[in-house]
Amino acid sequence: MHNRQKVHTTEAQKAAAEREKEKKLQFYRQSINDVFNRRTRNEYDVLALKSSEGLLRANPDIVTLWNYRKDILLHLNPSKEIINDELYLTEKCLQVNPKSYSAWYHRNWVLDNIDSSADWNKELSLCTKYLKMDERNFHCWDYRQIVASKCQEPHENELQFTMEMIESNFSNYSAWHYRSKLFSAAGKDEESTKISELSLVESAAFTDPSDQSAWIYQRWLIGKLEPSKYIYKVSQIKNKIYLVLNKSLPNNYKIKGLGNNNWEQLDPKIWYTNVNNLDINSVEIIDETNQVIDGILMDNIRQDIFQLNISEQLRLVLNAQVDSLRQLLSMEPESKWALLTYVLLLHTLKLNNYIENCLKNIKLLKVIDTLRKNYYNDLESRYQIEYWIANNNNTDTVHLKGLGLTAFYHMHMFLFHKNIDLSDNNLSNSNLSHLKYLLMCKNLSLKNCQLINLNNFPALPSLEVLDLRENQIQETSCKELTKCESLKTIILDNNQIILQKTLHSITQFINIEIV
Amino acid sequence: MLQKDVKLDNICKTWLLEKHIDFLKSFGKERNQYESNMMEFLRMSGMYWGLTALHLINNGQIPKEEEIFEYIKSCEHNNGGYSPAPGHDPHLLYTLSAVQIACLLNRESELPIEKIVQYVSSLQLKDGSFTGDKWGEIDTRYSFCALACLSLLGKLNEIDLAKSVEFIKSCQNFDGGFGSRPGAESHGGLIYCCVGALSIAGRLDIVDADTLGWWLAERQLPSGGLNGRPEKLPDVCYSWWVFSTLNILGRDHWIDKEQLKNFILASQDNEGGGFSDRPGDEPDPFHTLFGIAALSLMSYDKILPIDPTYCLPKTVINRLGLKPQTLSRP
Repeated sequence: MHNRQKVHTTEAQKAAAEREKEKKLQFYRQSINDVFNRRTRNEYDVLALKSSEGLLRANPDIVTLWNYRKDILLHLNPSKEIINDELYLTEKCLQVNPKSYSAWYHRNWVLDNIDSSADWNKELSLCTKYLKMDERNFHCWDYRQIVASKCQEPHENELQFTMEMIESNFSNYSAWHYRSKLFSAAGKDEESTKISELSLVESAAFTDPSDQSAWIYQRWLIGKLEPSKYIYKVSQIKNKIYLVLNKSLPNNYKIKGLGNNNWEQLDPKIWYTNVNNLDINSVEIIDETNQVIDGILMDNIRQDIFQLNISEQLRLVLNAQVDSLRQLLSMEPESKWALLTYVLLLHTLKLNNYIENCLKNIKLLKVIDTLRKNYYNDLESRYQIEYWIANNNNTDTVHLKGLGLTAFYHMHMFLFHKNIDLSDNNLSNSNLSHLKYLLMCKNLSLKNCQLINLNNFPALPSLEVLDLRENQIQETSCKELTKCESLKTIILDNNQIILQKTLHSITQFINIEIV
Repeated sequence: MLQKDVKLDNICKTWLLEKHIDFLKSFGKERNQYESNMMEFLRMSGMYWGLTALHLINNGQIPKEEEIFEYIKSCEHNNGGYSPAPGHDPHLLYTLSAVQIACLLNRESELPIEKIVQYVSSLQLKDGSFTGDKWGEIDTRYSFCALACLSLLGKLNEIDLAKSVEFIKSCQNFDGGFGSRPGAESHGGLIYCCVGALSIAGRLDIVDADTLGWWLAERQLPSGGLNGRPEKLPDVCYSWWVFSTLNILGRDHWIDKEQLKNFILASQDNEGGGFSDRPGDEPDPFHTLFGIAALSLMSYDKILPIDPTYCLPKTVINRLGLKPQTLSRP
């Protein structure tokens, strides 16, 4: 039912179409009843096989007919000729509907289960032929992977094939996808691959800067260059030691230290253990071969947690790409994909003054790509918060005031901070539940954050003073605050009289300060 | 290269509620004999699409409830599976549709639950994947069917859930999306199936929400419509597959909802009601459900709220006590 254009017709045409439909309907009912009757009579011969051909050629999606054919083929012990006819039928059906799941599967099934001398190499050529006709047919691409593994086609050849497809049209996202899989499967994650892929993708992207396929692939390559360190900080809160990570641990990694206690997970990026042996004052992360991946001393903070650790050669290649992007942007200043990639690269490499440059260009992205402006707002928030973390070693106070934040990224990194200032931001649509990580926070300012309610405000155990001035909070949502057991003072302004009254009525222990 | 998209100039965008109700009610009537017969190979799903859409815009009212339930019964098979129509073979796709319709009618307890559970769990393979029927086709669509079907019946513990999740994880791609099998390309529809299944399993931690959310946001074209893969035309059904996934991931604000609404409304059929894949094409129940369901996620008009994971009315999901996982906004 896809791509069927509606045609406007006269009454006479309508009547003719009705008669045509009636004829087709009768043919369909007769044919399908004939097939079903044969099946009920357990007929498993060539005639039975013939009976469903016409129906399938008209509609290859009638799965039950393929099933009956499978039953027949299993009974028949068919000759090579019958098998070839069967494969030919699937080819014909795929011409009618190249996206027919059941026709693709039937072909695969016949080769797997019926054809004892299946020619998978021929099948691979057929895939090549089909993909040259319809370069984005994902059914065929997916089938090709099955076929390539059956005939043990070397990864090199398949990479070469994707290369040919990309060279004939850079915009072939399916081919880029297949490349990503081939590299992962071949375990080719080394730097030389990254470098050669980056240069391939650069020439593709520069040939047609408005085509997104190559840019998405490039974003992946850049994204793979993530900071290598895991641990941000380890510290004690009451009788527990908390470990704060920048990224989740792979399943086979272990945490070691502090007397090898059992570490439990609070969140993928936060682990904790009970205090028992404080003689050891460092924590390490070890991989499955017992190699130390990362380590940190108690109470130390790793300020360069977002720094990239790459070779000089790769850094040179990436710096050269930054220069090329600058050139491209000087010619086409509103090329969205070039601009976005430029921002991502600057942020990844953390070149001089990168934050000003990133923010300036994100602002431009919001204008030229308005459909996704909220995405850019959130991206900007993430960059701002990361920048603060990377440039502050103050372990008590967080200053994120007036940064235009729309999203809470990395809040778990503020687990140990006592004073957190988030005032003058735009958090109206964010989810306050992200504040749940602020276990040590005593003073929290959400002044002028355009909040309209306090839904999902978490039970913060240490929170004493909460500044809510200059927000339009619905009083019905403030019950959440009673879950904060240490809360002593809430600061409001003169325009929040109703909120003030409601808060008074639900708790006697909280002091309301009007400023 | 020109971007593939459609133009929406001079297309009527008024909401045609009454016409949609008429369109949906016309299925199963005499004048649709031809379509009904030619589409019988997927009729059970067709009924789920039509009835869910009707429920959402007709105040939860569905006519001929008894007849519908009788039809489901007529498609029941001894092995516990359901076929799309009598005479056809049972398949996981239609088993889910049958269970969904029964839930919509508040009659799921009258189904042979033990047998259905037996059928669905028999289709799970060692690696955690599911086949669509006994003939062995593996696809992540079937992982969703199995998890949705069993959880609707309160029997999710009857399969190896951890393995199911592991298989879905093995279908994850460089762009954060998912394909039909390990190695297969990301595709809006299959992403919905995988993220939906993970939402049911409570394992959205598998998903890289920022990477996938961005890729999904890039599916929106200047016309406001969403496509399912890069450099493809927009289609109303991706308004559901892509947009509901963004909802599950807490990233629905990363696209422009007003523009999406416009595109969906432009894909209505002004004459007989219903929605088509894109403006000017023939309408059908499939696109009608997914157009209306997407509008429901945007609280449009008085359309009843829909659950982004199950694609069933929220009232049904609440009645069953189900709480599919969703992520909060960043």
